[in-house]
Amino acid sequence: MADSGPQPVVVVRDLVKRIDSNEILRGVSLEVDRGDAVVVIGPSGSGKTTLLRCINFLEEYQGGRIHVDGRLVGYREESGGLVRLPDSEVAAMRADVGMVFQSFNLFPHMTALANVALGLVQVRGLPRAAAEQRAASWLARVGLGHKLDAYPSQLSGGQQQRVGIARAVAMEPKVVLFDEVTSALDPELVNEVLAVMKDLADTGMTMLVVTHEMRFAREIADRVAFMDAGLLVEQGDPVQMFEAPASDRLKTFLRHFSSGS
Amino acid sequence: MYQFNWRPVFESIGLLLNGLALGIGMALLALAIGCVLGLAGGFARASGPKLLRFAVAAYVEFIRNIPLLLIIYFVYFGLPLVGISVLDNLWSFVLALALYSAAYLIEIFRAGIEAVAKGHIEAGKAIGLSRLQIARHVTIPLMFRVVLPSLGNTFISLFKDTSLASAIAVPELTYGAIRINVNTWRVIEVYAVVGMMYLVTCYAIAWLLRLAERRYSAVH
Amino acid sequence: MDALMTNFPLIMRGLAVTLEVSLLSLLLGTLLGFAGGLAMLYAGPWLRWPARAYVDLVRGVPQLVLIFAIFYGMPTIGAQVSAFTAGVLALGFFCGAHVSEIVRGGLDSIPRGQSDAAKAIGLTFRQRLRLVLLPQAIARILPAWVNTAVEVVKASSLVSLVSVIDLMMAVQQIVGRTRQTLLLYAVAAMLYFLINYAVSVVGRRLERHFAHG
Repeated sequence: MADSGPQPVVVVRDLVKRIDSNEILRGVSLEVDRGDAVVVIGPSGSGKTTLLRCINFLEEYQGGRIHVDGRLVGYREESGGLVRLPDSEVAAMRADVGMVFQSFNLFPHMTALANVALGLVQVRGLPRAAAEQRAASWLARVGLGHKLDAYPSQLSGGQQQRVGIARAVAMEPKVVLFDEVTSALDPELVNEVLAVMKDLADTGMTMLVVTHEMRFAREIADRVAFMDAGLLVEQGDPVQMFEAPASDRLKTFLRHFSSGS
Repeated sequence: MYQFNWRPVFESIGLLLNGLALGIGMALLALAIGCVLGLAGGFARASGPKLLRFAVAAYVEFIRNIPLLLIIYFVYFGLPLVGISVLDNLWSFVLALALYSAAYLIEIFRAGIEAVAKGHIEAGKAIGLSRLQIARHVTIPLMFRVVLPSLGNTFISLFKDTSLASAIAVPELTYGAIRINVNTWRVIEVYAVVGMMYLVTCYAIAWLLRLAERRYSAVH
Repeated sequence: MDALMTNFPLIMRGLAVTLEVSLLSLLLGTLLGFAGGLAMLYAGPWLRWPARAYVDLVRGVPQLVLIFAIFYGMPTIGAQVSAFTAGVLALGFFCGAHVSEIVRGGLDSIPRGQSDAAKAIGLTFRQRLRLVLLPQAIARILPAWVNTAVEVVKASSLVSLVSVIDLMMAVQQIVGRTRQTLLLYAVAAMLYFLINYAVSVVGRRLERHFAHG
């Protein structure tokens, strides 16, 4: 459901990304409105992860435009062309875009609390006590209030990923990107993470989620986008996309999930 | 402004090339002797009686923590005092370098021996081979590829260490540099040339080593 | 044994010089090494290639040649250096080349996901290096750095060949006077061994401190 008034939080227009001569993204356009949860599905190699990594400029892009909260990502317009922004400005933009990774990427030399508080102290400039308080409350919110002083190696995969989510959302970003965050988890640990994500979606967090969990996608998505081979083939209402897919490619893709998992 | 004059150096290039050849030769000799000691010590550390293992480990620890120069002086000046005066300065140096290299080679071979899968050794035992036969026909061939890179790097190190032979007047490359310098005082030119000769030789050895590694793994 | 007693102060003074040379070279080399390692990984080509050239050049030349080149070479370009300074400079460059490789390897071995996550929460390059990458790299760098430190102590004996009165030279001088060759070499060996053993112990203590659960 589109928010009335302000611009979408994320605007991707005709995005092109190349590695050597390979076109990974061949002109992708997508918008994420404030408060929406947009889910991107598609086969491996379709460019879903690359799309996310371009949005927070972990990857450069060669064509098109990405705007987050109205600001061009990674570049500056200059006399008709694009000039790369310096690292410090890119860092400032990234503070407003959260990302949760498939392989968690927690900092192993810090406790769960320190992992979540790091950005609050170093980037948001909070004093340590306030940062740790906020971090503790977010960790409690994801069900890990009793594990503040645990190191990542002492946590299960599901717990590590929940810390990863807390680390991203504690920064109070404008949008959170979820990159197949349950794909590396043992099946019995997946649900605890999905529960946290559903909770966040219900409270109105702006989310862009790449996932293979189709049932979850149907549950939380305000809009679903289907990508294949570097293109955004179809997007729309989740019920309509799953029940009555318009494109053949989507039909083929969904057939692999016919058991409804 | 320093006036470069390369001629005195290039006039003595024969001296330097002889020194280089001597250095390579001494390094090879030291490596050969060191490998014999290293294999023996490696097997001792991997599967010998406890006392022997400890003695070898002590040797390794001791030699690796003292300067090569001290070992050279000990062999050259010290051994004659206990009756061993057959070695001239060249052979004293080779022996010292061999004893030094053995401390590293023992560990290299020990790691190589332990890297040979137990299954192969058991297969050897199962068909009735003696321990010596297993060592010769099973362990050593199998561990060769594992230790080859380390052997090559050790050889490069030993070659650089031959520069210390100049301390007891062995006419290798560094000694040649000192002599030319004393005679002509073309310091920068001499050491530039000598430095280049060491550098190029090290790279050549490294390149040959890479070829050998590729060749050997292709065969297997 | 009398020779040992009467010459004890000389031996101790030589030992002090050896420790001085080793420590100064190690300090210089470690600073150079971090600069070089970071340059090889993160700097633009105009800094990366010289760093690479420095490392490859110094590692292909024996330490003794470096010492001679600096000691005899500096006066010819107008700079008067003492043998002690020449030794420290040469050993510092030698150490720096090794530490550069160690630092480069240590940082390079950190999984890319770590810098991704650090970037994702908005840390700048300096913050990523200081808070996320270097703390993890130190654990990997330390063992190899300790090995380099031991090599520096051993190489410090080479300054005796440009007449610096370190432990090796002191022992040589006493041997020349008293002819107590074996005894004095044994003492020297023991002292070098003790220094390096202490270095290894300190190194292991540091490694344990920086390892994280």
